[in-house]
Amino acid sequence: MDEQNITKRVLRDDTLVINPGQMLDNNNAHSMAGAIASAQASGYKFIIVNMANLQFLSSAGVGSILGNIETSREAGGDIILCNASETILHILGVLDLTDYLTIKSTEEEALTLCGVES
Amino acid sequence: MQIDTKATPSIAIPSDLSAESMAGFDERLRDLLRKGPDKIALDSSQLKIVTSSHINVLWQVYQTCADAGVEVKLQSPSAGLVRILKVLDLYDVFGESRDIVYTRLKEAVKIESVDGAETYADEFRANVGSINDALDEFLRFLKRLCLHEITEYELRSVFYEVVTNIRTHANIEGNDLIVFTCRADESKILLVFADSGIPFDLTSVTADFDLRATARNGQTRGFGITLIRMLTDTISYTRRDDVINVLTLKKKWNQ
Repeated sequence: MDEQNITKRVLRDDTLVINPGQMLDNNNAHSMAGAIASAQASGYKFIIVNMANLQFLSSAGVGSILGNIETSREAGGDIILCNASETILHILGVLDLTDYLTIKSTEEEALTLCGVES
Repeated sequence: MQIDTKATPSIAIPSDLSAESMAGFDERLRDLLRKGPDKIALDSSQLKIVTSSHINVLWQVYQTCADAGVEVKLQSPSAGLVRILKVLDLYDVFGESRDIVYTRLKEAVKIESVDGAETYADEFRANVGSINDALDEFLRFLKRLCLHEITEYELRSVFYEVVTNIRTHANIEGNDLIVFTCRADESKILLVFADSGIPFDLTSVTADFDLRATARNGQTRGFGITLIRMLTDTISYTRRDDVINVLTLKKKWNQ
């Protein structure tokens, strides 16, 4: 399904943007976790998850991101979420994760955090 | 989705395997087979404790029916019997009569209609495609309720998490059914799910699940139950005597 497509975009040697598509649920959470882990293994310290198209985030989708965060942080980087809709932010808030996660309104703000000029 | 149902003649397997009891059983089985049914249901509800002798009886019945060209399905097997048959690689030989399971599932999710309340019901297979279709249908029902976007999303999440949880933990197969009803009135929505899988009581899972600690350990499981808990007000689970799991969730409006 197209809506399950996960795309990647390299910004610089240590920064990668991942777009999870419209749905991040049980069907593609393992792919998302794999994409993040693969990026980390390739040396990308900062991984920006651009949720601009994301309409639904399941618990498995949350887990696919959450389970990889410490790896990035221990490497001096982070996984940064951006462009999340109000409903996605609400779910992250319900799970009491908004303080734990690094969340920015736009990709530009996320890039600034990574030290990348937009 | 509409599921085809038709009555299947049934015969109860006695828990007491004495010669007298078995003679009566054999006679009832012969009488039943003389009527030339396409299939019969073996009512296993009396088998609370299952021994190798019971399995032997089941196997003999299967062979007798197979010789007569009659399909045999289990009716109301206990979770223990299902486990034993699976270990012995015999479960698929018997399986369960789908029409009987269907009737039990429908019975399990019955909710009273209330004046002014909106009700919705669906039944779907436990595979990804059917679940996605069911989720879309449920969303259409939620749209009719004209809920706030956040509330609608919460209910969508609850439905998805419960169903995927059933699919994961109840060990049901993609062709098995999940039956769902819900009722919404001005103060709350009631969601009832039923399945015929192995028991899994999500209310027994600890409520103080630490997501952050879990994340720090790189684990990714357990979030779904936490989400269901956080997005609903009450959850109850029942394992019925007819081995149907019923999960009932209530969510109040305007909190």
